Amino acid sequence: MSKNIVIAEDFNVSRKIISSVLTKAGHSVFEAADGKEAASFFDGRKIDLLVTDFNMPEMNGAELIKIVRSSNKYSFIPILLLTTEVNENKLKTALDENITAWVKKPFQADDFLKIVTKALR
Amino acid sequence: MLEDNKHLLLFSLKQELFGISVKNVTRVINLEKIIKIPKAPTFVVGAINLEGHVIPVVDLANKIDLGITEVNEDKKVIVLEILREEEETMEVGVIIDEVLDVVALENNALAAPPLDNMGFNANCLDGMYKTGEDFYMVISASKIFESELETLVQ
Amino acid sequence: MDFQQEYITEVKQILKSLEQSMMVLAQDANNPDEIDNAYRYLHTVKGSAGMFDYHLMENLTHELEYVYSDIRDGIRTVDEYILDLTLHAIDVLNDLIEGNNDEKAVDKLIKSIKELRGDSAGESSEATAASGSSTKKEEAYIIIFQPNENIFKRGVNLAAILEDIADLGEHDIIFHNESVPFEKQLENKAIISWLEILLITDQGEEGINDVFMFLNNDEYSSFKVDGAESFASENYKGLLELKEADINDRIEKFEALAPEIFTSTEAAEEVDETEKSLDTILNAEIEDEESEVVIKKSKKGATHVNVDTQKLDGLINIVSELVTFRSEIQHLLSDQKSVQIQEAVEKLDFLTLKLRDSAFNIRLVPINILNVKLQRLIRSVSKELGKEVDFITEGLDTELDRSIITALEAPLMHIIRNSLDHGIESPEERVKRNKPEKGLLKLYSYNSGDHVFIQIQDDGNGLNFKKIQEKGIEKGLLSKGQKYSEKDLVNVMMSPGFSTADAVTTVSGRGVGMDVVKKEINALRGDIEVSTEEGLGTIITLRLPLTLTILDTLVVNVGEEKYLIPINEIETCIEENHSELFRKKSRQIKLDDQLVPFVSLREYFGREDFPEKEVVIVVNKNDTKIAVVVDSIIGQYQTVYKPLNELLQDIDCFSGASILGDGSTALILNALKLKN
Repeated sequence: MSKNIVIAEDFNVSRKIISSVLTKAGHSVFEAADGKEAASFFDGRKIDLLVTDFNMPEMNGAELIKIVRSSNKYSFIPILLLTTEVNENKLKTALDENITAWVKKPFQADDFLKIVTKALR
Repeated sequence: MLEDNKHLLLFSLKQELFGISVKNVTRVINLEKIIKIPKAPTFVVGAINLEGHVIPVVDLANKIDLGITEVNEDKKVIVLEILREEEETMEVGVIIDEVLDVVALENNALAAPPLDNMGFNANCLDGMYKTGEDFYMVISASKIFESELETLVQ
Repeated sequence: MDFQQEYITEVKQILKSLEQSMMVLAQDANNPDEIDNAYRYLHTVKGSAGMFDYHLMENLTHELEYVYSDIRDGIRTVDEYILDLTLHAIDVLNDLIEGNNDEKAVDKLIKSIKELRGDSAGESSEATAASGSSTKKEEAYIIIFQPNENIFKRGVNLAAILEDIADLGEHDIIFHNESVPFEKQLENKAIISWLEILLITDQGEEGINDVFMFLNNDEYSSFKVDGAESFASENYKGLLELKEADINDRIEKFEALAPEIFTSTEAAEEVDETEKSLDTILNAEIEDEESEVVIKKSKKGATHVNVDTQKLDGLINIVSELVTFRSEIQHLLSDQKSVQIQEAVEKLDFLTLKLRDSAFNIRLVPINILNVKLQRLIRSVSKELGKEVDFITEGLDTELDRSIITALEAPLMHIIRNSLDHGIESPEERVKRNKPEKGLLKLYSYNSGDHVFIQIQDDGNGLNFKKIQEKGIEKGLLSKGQKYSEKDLVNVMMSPGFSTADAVTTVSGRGVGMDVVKKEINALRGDIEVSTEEGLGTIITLRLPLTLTILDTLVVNVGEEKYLIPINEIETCIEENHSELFRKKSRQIKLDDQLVPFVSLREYFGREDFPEKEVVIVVNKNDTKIAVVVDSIIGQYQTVYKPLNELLQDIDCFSGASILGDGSTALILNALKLKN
């Protein structure tokens, strides 16, 4: 089943890799290079999953997640946070824990797809 | 018709002697508490309640052109179970005068039914059964109502 | 019933379940449970087909099984083609089990499946071989699962987690919201309820961690259980402190999930010690097999037994007879003064009525059993018409008499076909009208009093009354220049020989119109109502009696005979002098400025004597009024409806018969048919 996934990641190569992995798996992908652009996709259309980086220009991951969660339509969608941050506790407090899972960069495409598939259930 | 159950119920009706395979007979009861069914075919005398089933009672004599039976409490009703399509059965009662006997049927003990006019409708006969001096006309339960049930199928 | 017959019944049931799985997969192609189910169904059919010499069936399911094992292993996904192929296969399998061996059809189908498999056939057999050989050891785990409050805010799908646990193996979930005995869990005051999961799995700790991938370490913990002694270990006590009774309960639950789980190793040792004879070992194995069967049954939850409808009708008949007999007893003992006898009669009364109610309940089945058929119809018809439709159902657990449900199938299918064909527009047309491309078809059902309502709603074009009027005039059913209400036009639409489709399409143009639907619904003592909004859609409402067998009637008499008239058909009753009624030649009576035709039953049945005072009963059925003249009213009676014997079916002035409290039989009048 094809799902609509938003990817927010400022690092082009990373984003393209993720995008191609998800597209190959049959999903529709909306790519955004920063938080603000990503937020613009949450305009009422059907979005099944957000994959977002934490540190991004314009609007960081925490702010993006806050905006997404504040909308009724998206308050329960799964969100995967990409991070290189080692100190998870620090991130947790910053995000108020409203994400589904962390994905540590770098990752293997297979593992990532497995997590995405699980999150989309 | 008689292969699988070779017993005949012998009975009398209007001075004539008849037999019918017990395979089709579920029971014999006294004729009582019968209700009239207006607009029913003339051979249907009425209906009785048999353990929750409403079953029509047929004047057998009338049905096979043997005349009309007087309905009274001395009469008996043979309840027949007639096989219909898809394993469904139809129950119907036929009025007779008296049950005479139940006999086992030897192989080939049935003679062919007479072809000539016997003063009534002989189409529903399976054959003749002879014991001692008496001839019994063996009736086929399914043939009695053949014409009625055929029109229903159409 | 011999084994073969039993087998056939079972296969049919499995094929039905398989069909149901296909419908779920059509909506949710990745549903792992249904994929698993589909595979299992095919496997079961295949396995048993060989035993009963259904070789074509065996070959076909064998091929199809490969496809689903691939799907299960993630090598391919369910798509439209596979769905259609499987549905077609189900039809062919149904034919095969009926004994219609169309070898060509099977060969063709097997060829298509082989072609489909073509690319992955090689690797898949390896994959199945690999998964087959990897039989890991089953172990017992207790999982304490206490999600934080924000679990939903985090976008974690709790239901999916529970489903994944079910995939791991046999399990039992204990829901906790106690506050006293589990103080350890209450340290974190925010959490009040949590789950204790008993799981048997061969996937190990790793598999469990996989399921809880999105949960924090403090939200779940798992603990391997080897037997009773595990519960006593410090490790476990740190997790959960249980009373001895609770521990025994857990052990019992585990043993119910997998009988050999704690004993297998011990049992093996015992054999060594005592050198049991071969016989006893064999017996033990047999016992194991038996207990496995029992568990498989309990896994399904409520087990169902298929009962022959004839047997059921037999039961109902006996129960009805008992109800009648109860009235007789009551009557016979009515002048008894003994309190004991009175109490006994009352008790008999209570029990028979209860028995009657539960016996009738057995006859009731949920409308849901038609769902798969309807879904398949919608699928194929919308494909044929190039239309897209979402089918939504609600309240399909509403129950109706089995015979009504069976009789409903054809009219329901016709209504749906009509909605798809004439109601819902083509995707292009819908876009033009600012509607979503996909049409919406809703089927919902609910109970209200003695009736069940079924509504079929579409968001299509609605009825075109102008067109109906034109067509009605053209067909000579309406006269030109006259004004007709919408209700009149709906009635015309449902009268014989009416079809609004400009061209007879392959879908609904089968020579059957709404008139037939209406006739069929009326035959079930039901009504049909149409409400429509042009351009927005149509709602068709069917109102049906809960059961055909119980009927509230008015008992009347004509001469010595009693007759019954269904109370819901009666509008009013009035007393009238015979001479007044028969004053004119025309048999009509004036009621509220309306002339209503009447039928005198005495006259109708050919009698020539009449009482001076007669009772006129006005019957209103499907908006047609007719008055029936009888001698007098005896009373009301709730009766059990009995259809008339085949020999009497031609008499249409009676719709059936009933047995009254005194054991006498009475015919149920079909007043409308008296007119002819």
